[in-house]
Amino acid sequence: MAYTVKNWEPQIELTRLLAALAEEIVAATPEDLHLASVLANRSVAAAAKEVRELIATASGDQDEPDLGLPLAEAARRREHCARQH
Amino acid sequence: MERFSESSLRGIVTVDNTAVDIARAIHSLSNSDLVRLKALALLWTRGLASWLGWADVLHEAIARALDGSRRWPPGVSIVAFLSGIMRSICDDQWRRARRELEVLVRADDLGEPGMLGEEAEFSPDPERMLAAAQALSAVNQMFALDPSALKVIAGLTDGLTAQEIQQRYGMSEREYDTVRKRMRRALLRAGLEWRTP
Repeated sequence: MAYTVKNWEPQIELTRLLAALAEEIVAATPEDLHLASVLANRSVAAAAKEVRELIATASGDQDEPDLGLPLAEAARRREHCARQH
Repeated sequence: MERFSESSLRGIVTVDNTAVDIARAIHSLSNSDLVRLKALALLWTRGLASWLGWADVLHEAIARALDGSRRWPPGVSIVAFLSGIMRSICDDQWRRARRELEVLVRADDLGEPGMLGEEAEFSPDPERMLAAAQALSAVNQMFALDPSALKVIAGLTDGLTAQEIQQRYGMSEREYDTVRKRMRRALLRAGLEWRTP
């Protein structure tokens, strides 16, 4: 039987492809990053800064009174607080 | 063939990880890992149309990791762990959109909830199909100037192994690895460029 577009399942194909590409990103070496940085004409440090800020916001949302608290300390305090209740 | 670089193994522990371990690992992420995370967030949000941006998904993943609701399995790098959470968030978005569509279908169905039969439940969701097709097209477009990368993409899309892709397209292992390196750099480049969250 001929393969027709009726059998096409793009969502399954997309899931497979994204999973494979995510593995590639995780496996990237520092050399890959350096060359990508040259191609993008933007330093790794500059790009990392916006992600670091986003993480700071995300962790701040978790612990409202201590926006500047380091993440590890914030988590330790949350665990301590949870044990007491 | 390499699977994990030395840097991707950073942050791996071999005992159960607590929320404190997760927070410490996130706080200690190197600049390289942070760029990897952004590239992963951009990747996972492809196909979500305009529901969520990369920053929304990464923000939510960090929040879920820190609240202790997700277990960080031993032997998994913190970057891979957060990538898994982002994938899960995007899958949830797909499911939510599908449920909303089903509710709309039921509402149009003269108020008879039982009318949505099994066949309809498992029939392809046209909206998701379209979004997925557009996302596949966007990934292909990313590698449009690299015919060898497009071959690898086609193979990965079909669920082929590295060896099967090499056989299908007559690539040597070295050629295949070179193509994968170019693909990685293209994916990382996306994470390095300015993007509005």
